[in-house]
Amino acid sequence: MQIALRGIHKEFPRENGGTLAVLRDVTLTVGTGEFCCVVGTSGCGKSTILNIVAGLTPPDSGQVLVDDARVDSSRIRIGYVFQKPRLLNWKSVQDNVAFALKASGVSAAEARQRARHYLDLVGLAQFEDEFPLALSGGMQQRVAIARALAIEPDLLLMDEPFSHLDELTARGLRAELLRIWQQARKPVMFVTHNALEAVYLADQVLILSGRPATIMKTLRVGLPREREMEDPRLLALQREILDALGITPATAVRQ
Amino acid sequence: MKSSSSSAEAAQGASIWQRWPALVYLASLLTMLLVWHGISRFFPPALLPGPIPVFARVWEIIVSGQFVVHMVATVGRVVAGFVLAFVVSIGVGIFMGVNRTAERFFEPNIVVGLTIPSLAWSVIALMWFGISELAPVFTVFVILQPLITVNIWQGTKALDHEVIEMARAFRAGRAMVIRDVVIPQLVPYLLAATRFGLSLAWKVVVIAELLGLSNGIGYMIHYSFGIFSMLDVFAWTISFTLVMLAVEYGLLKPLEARVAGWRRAVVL
Repeated sequence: MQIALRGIHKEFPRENGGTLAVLRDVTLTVGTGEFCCVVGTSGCGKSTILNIVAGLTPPDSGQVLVDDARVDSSRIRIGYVFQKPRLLNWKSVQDNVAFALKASGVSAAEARQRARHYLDLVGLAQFEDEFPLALSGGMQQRVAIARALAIEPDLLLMDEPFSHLDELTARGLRAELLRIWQQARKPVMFVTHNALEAVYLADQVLILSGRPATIMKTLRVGLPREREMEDPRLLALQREILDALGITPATAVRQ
Repeated sequence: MKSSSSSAEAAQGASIWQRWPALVYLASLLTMLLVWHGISRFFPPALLPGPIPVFARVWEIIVSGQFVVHMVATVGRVVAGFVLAFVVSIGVGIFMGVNRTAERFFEPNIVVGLTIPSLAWSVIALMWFGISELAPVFTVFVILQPLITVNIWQGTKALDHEVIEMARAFRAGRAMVIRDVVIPQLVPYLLAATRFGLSLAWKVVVIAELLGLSNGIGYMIHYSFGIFSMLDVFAWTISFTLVMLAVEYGLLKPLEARVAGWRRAVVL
């Protein structure tokens, strides 16, 4: 399955009556089974792109196309991982995952079974009966990832899912995510402001300009999988992204 | 670091008060009775009867069958007025919470409603409906409705829209969003509204009963006043308080523990 955005424009009304142009002519393609990262500075409209793909926000103009046909946004199954876990705190961990499954039409009995399987996959099998608030932030985000994967989505959307976590936890989850993605081979759109994270994860990195956002540059990461975060080739690609965003090297204070 | 968990491990080394929270409630009630008993010894019983004669009188009232007759009348009016106010408030409160225009439209009505004293409404209702069941039920309804509406309105405004958006992203239908995402967030507000709604309803209904009805707790308090029996005034007041305590600890508290159990999972 291939997802394409064609000429997406989006403005939001402002309190003072004016409008705020957020996206301008955003055109991109995420190939079958491709891991695509969208990089840009904070508040540039990255999340809006995901919300448009998910059908939560209608674009002012432009199209979201699945396999070159106009998409009925309710037709494809979308797994969404947000910046914050966004769990239902009044439901157990297992019921949180089962909620998404039931929402996509899976029977209650099968939902339970699949919820268990995917919680096991993210290493939370023994926490399935806990309430979310009893878990750490990293564990809550793993529940959110299990919820998105459990519905076996046609497309996985991830909005800075690791940005609230400490680097150690984030590294573990990135590696886990890649392992699971390599088995499922479904397209992923992953939004981040972390350039190194983007080149570590992605096949394709899209670099957004500031508001209104448009795609400035597309970068192919041709490196083989089982990448190392400290690989000098990744660091060179990271530099390329930072240059495109206009972020100069942090020069050490010299005497 | 302190855990509010009541598991066996946490109880180790905890004082007897922490291990048996019911004892604290009991001690609280006993203290009140003791203070009452102590003070009453300094006054003549016609002015301030002590707990022992009052509870003896309560027992007499119960045995005589009068208790059931008047309690059923009062509780029936409280429940009817409360349920009516609750149903209307859910509709209006949620509408106000989700619609800016509805909010602006109903807000002044609520402010006006909140400022009218229950005595005024009781008199008005009795003059409108005469001596009938409609008068006290209407009074309870108009007094409670703005208060409960405010609660539900605030609860609706405090809804977490991020999890609602999450549910929509996963294609949850409207019914599922309401059942699994919206209502659980409103439950604490509904419980709070129930608790203070019921306690206020009974204070309102006795005024209506005192002014113009011929049965109910309010009428009996008024009747006791007529024969100048302080013992009976106390006995009827206490008997209704006992019913309210039973509702609080037998119904509301256990219900709250059940629906808000997930909050206890928070480890501080």
